[in-house]
Amino acid sequence: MIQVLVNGLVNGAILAMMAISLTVIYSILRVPHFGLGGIFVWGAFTAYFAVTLWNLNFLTAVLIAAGCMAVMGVVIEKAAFKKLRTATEDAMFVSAIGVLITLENGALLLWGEQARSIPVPQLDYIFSIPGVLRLPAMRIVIFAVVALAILGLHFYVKKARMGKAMRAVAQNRVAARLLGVPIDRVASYTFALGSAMAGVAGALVGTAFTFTFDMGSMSILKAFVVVVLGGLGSVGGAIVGGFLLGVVDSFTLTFLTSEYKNLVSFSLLILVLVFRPSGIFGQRLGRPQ
Amino acid sequence: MKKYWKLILFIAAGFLFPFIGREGYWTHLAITILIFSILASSLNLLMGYSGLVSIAHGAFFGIGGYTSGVLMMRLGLSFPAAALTAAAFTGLIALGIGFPSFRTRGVYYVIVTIAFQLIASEIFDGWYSLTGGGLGLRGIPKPGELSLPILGKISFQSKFAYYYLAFILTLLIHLGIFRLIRSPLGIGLMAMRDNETKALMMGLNPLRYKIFVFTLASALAGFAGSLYSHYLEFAHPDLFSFFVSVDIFLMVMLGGAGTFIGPPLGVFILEMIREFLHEFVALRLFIYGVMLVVIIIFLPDGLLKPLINIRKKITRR
Amino acid sequence: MKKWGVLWLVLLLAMAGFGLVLPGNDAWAQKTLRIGELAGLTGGIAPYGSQLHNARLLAIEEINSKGGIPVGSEKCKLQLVHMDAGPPAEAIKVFERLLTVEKLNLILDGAYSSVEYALAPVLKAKQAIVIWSGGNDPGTTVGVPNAFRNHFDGGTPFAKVNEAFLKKMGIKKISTYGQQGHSDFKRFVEEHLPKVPGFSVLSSDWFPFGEKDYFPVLTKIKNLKPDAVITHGFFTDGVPLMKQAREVGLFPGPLFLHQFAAAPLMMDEASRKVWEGSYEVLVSSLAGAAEPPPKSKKFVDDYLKKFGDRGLGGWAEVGYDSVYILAKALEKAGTVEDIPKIIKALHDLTIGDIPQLLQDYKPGKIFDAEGQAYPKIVVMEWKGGKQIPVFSDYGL
Repeated sequence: MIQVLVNGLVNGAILAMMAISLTVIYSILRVPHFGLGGIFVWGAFTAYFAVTLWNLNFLTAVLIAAGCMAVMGVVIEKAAFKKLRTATEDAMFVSAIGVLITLENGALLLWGEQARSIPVPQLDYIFSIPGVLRLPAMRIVIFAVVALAILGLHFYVKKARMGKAMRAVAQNRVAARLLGVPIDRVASYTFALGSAMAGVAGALVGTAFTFTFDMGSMSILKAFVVVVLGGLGSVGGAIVGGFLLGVVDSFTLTFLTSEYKNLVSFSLLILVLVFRPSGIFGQRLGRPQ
Repeated sequence: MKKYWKLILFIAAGFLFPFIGREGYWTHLAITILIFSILASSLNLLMGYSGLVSIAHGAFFGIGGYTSGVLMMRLGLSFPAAALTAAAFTGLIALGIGFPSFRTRGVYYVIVTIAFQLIASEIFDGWYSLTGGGLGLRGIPKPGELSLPILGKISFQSKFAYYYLAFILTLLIHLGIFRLIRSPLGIGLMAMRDNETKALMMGLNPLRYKIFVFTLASALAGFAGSLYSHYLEFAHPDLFSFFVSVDIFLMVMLGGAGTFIGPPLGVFILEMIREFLHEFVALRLFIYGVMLVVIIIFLPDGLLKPLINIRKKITRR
Repeated sequence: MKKWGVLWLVLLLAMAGFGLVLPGNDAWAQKTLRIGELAGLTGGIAPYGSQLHNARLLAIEEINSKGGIPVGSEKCKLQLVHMDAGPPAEAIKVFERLLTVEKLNLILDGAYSSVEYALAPVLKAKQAIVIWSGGNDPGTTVGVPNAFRNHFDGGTPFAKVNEAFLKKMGIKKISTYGQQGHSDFKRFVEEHLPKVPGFSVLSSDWFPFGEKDYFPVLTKIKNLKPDAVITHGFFTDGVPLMKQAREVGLFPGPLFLHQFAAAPLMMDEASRKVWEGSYEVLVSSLAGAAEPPPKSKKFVDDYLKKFGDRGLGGWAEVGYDSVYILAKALEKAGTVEDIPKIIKALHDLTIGDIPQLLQDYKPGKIFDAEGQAYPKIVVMEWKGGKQIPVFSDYGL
């Protein structure tokens, strides 16, 4: 039982991380950034090379992944989304899909289709309570890193100047602009933040499990589902939604069915949306007119 | 009549095409493009004219394809009966899923459609006894022989004949869509798309409209599915997956959502891009991704409007 | 103005789409026979497809270095025209292209199993021959007179070998964990296994391709305490599956029988360790074994020399054989154009006709009436990062 719960929480942590990065960008800039799936993949590769080529330790590698992906995020914002700020969400969606495909296949071209794993021998041991729980150390690390990241984000958005600017833009872009908030700068920081988090998620997954060039699409899709489940614009919702989905999946797989796992989880999702059409914590949101 | 000369030319070209393509690759492509035009245009009804983005079209495409195949294979129905029943059945399922989903709006609604698509894909894969799961459903028969007054007996075994079947059906469906858009119903849909609250105040019932258009669009997708699976004599979950839904979405966006000719144009363009990229093997998908970004940045409303503008500029001279 | 530019670019591409597809570069050189090949080189199937492709290139090089194959009065050199084939919809398109645009009518293939079913209707309508060298789905050549397969049939023959091995190891209670979408495995698990007296299937679970976390289901299986766990899918998922089976405490424990077609050289050294003590059965070639028989050893050495030491597994020999089988059939038929004659020649081939064959096929004629061959299926045990054959059978 506990094993099943913990299994779910660990996966939920990753989902939550991806969901947060998506929510941050969507709620502030209204960009459905599917391309984050590609960042997820590149984050894993970056950390991998940091560890294997430059022999850096795990924590440094994760930080490097975060930093590089932040930079990449800014570049992508300028290249693929800046001109679309006045376009429809659907158009941004198309661009995001393009970014995802480009990043994933770019990784394929550069580094091949081999499945790899980031080797961190120091974390190779397994924490176990006989009969109750067996947990590889790396999974505990995932949990810790995600928790730290969430805390960091919370304080940044609450206290830092840029964080406040972001919240202003999220609430009312036109008013924020009128008040002199530099939208371009906010956009860059937002993308940097979201991409850094997605990159870290990738590095974590790449170490605890294996990573390939095409693992981005499914993970960003699930993240989207979580974001909606939790309620758009709500980081708290993304966190709760992520852990919830992780745990539900774990229990479904272990006790119900692995063949129709999607059927179960997504039916629940649809059910939630029927009763709370804006997600668990979301506010009423129409299409921006 | 003068207004329609372009249309007549186009249709004539379409009629004569198989004489060039024969049984070959080009006819195969053409048939695929025709079938996907039905998909794109029906999705356009949802996206462009009613403002409802759906990434579940692949699923309905598949439900129609599998149902029609099974009906003909296991229950011995004729092709027309199987295809129409499959379309109706698909519409029924759409009705079922429509009710809960229309309480949601915007991106929430899109996610519900994605969820449905993923569930459908799982069922296609998992329900082995009915769909053949990952092996696919094989042995779906092509439509039976048809006896026509002047032309005599027509067998649909050849690509040549099947092309005409697809061509005529596609034209008819598009004619229907065209009439629908121009009708009061169509105008109501567009009103609802533009501002739902105002539409409510004018006395329209958005929910009814949404359910209607969703059911219709999905039924059309199901019909396209049956055309497809009987052509291939095969059905498989990969043919109706989430990625296919995304493809159809892209076709509508690239061609121009909300325009009539846009989506079929989008189908054609996307297929041509694919053909063009075929030579590049490994780079193919990478270039495809870049192209998507580039095209949408410069042409966020799709290809059609700029094309029309160019034509206007030319004819003005 | 920029908008115009992009617009023209896209239209140009659309036209170019027409232009670039016209058949190309290589003229029909007098003594070169072009053979089409569809092999998945991208995506999940890539590690398997590339072996096939490379092995075929090797075989063709050998044949050409001896002057080619004698067909009628002349000698023909071979040239492989390759097209990548992914999942069904695309494969059908590519196939059509090979047939009508490239005008090839002899094709070697080996990709996703379901592709074989998808291509059957297209094949039947054309004057062409296909030899499948991959894909495990049952009966893909049934009902298609111009399709042959020299990879083993993953239906009844394969099921029988699995059954025989498990019985030999005294297995009674079984759990399965396979990749979603692989309905050949589904058939095995849901239709074959439960009917075997003495076996009881405790659970059957499925993972999606690319699954990262196997803990939930492995936890479930651990609690059920089966005698054996049978797995199936692409080996790239098998590696994390086994790693996590150890982490969760499930393995070492029950007997693990894998249907991944994994072999030592297909992965890095670290990955080989996770399989230690488990068994692999989706193989009909001894190329991956620690001590391959002399012919296979020579093949392995040649392959490694030419293609480097990554990626060689059980599918390579199948590809190699397919070239020699086709070559011999063409030689015996004395024609490269007369399809019915070549089909007859293929049916008449016996293993004695082709000394270069690497796989161990059942004695007598290579293909049965439906065009299916029966290479011996081998169960390998993973020991010390290598594979040792412990059981084999034709599955007849």
